Amino acid sequence: MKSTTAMTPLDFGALVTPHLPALFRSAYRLTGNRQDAEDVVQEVCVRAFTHLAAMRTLDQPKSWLLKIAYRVFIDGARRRTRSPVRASTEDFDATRVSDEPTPEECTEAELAERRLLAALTELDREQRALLSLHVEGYTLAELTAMTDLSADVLKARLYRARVRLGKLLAADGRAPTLALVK
Amino acid sequence: MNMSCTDVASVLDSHRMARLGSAERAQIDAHLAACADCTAAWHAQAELAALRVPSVPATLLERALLASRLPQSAPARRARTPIVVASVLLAGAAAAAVTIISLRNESAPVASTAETSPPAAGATAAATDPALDEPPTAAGRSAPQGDGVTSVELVETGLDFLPMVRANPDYPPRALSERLAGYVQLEFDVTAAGRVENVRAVKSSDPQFEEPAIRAIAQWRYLPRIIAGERAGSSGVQTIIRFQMDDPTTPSPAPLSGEALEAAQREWAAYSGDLMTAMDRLAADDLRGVELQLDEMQALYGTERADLWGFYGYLYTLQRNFDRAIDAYERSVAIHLRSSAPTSGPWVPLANLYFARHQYDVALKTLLRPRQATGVTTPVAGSRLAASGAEALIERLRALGVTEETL
Repeated sequence: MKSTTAMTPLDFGALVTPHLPALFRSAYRLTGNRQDAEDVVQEVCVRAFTHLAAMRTLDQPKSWLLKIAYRVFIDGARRRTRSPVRASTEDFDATRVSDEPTPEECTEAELAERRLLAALTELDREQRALLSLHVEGYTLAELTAMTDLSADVLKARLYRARVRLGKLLAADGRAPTLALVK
Repeated sequence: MNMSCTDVASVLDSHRMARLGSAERAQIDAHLAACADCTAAWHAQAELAALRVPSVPATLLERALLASRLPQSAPARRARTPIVVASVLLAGAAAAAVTIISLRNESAPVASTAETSPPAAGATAAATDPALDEPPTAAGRSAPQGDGVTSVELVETGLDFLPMVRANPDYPPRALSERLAGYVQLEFDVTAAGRVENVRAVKSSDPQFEEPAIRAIAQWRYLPRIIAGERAGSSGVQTIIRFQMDDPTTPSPAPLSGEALEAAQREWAAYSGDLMTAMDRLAADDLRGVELQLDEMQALYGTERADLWGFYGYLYTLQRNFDRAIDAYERSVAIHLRSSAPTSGPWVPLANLYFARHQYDVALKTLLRPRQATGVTTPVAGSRLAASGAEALIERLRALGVTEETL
């Protein structure tokens, strides 16, 4: 709830830039493709911009930005129409879930990623968000702050989400083996 | 020692998968061999950790910055509508809240800050917080009677709570063709979730107005009253919806073209939809979600929206963050004071907050400010009921020895 009067894009850029990589990585894990990840990042910036003054005073602007990203993602594609700034085509990479190349063209690793991204889309948004943010390296304490879930609820949901994802992956023809995970 | 599923989950949770000693690893393997769920979980975590993430696109920052500035430079949303409805809240048995809205002809060109508001197609009615939500004007070209532009002015209010989302009633076609004005007095309950229920028409000038009025108000949402820190329902709330068209000899000064009207209507629909989202989250007790929604709306619609600041004030009051609540309400009333309807701001909740902080002088001054701004000393129609929220507080202040004379 701040006015934007005293803020300049320069200030904003200086504050946000250090956190963009983490924000983008998390958004990519959340969404599974670059375009949507960029949309999430843009949306986060749009929301954060109105809070520049408050952001300056935060010890952990990154956590706060990620919390917004979590919320943006959980709230879903409701607003996708509003992202007016688009990436140019060369920004799109080959790992998008859609228009994938034929299996023969993929390396084993690429196939695995593709399967994982596909399986992730089967999870509900919260499960996906929790797993994505967690694997980005955040601690449970940080995640509870980001999601407003209690630690116990968070743990239980993380576990259930992993089990579900693992079973989806197994059903997709890559039965987990201990050799694989060692 | 056997590992439990919780132990395995804890290893995963703490990012220790890759940093296990051989003894611990053996125990985990033993558990995984016997537990399908943990095997799936372990596998999923390993795959997730192995996922490569593309590098940050070079132009991302630039585009993000551009996007973040767009809302501020969004196309102007100003436009006016024919308003054919005014709303008067009368204090019901349990609700000490009153808004009185009068109608006046609108003949001056618009010079307000960009605001969104309910567009009313020529024949459609709109009820709104007027000076702040200048509704897009339909020239009424498609209306049977041509130009009909009337705006609503909120002259006096002493509200504990305000309608946050309003739907436009349809003007009954027969009344429209006869240029018939009218009103409906409605009584209803506001639930703790802010929904309007049990609507009934208490009386009306003509039965044909009742159905559209009831249908419209059933879609309204109120910020429920806060009693002892909790949201509470109110029963017996009354409102009058007026249907009125202006003098057909006074043509609209700046009618919107069909396209502009459509755009304005879309904008209004989007704004109402966003407010509705905030109300839904409030009803679901998702206060954090409400705040994020309001933040987003400010980014989209600007920081000069008195109703959004009022919503913030309400939210922070619920969260018992009274400093921020006062700050937000002050922003809201400041915008109201600059508008043509200074009395319609959240004066009473603001004054109540000052009262609760024992700033009695400030509380009283707050209540007097809108009257000083308008020079109106007595509330208009329904005066005794009109300011009951404010009057109740003034009485309490008087009991404490704080009166206008002692200021």
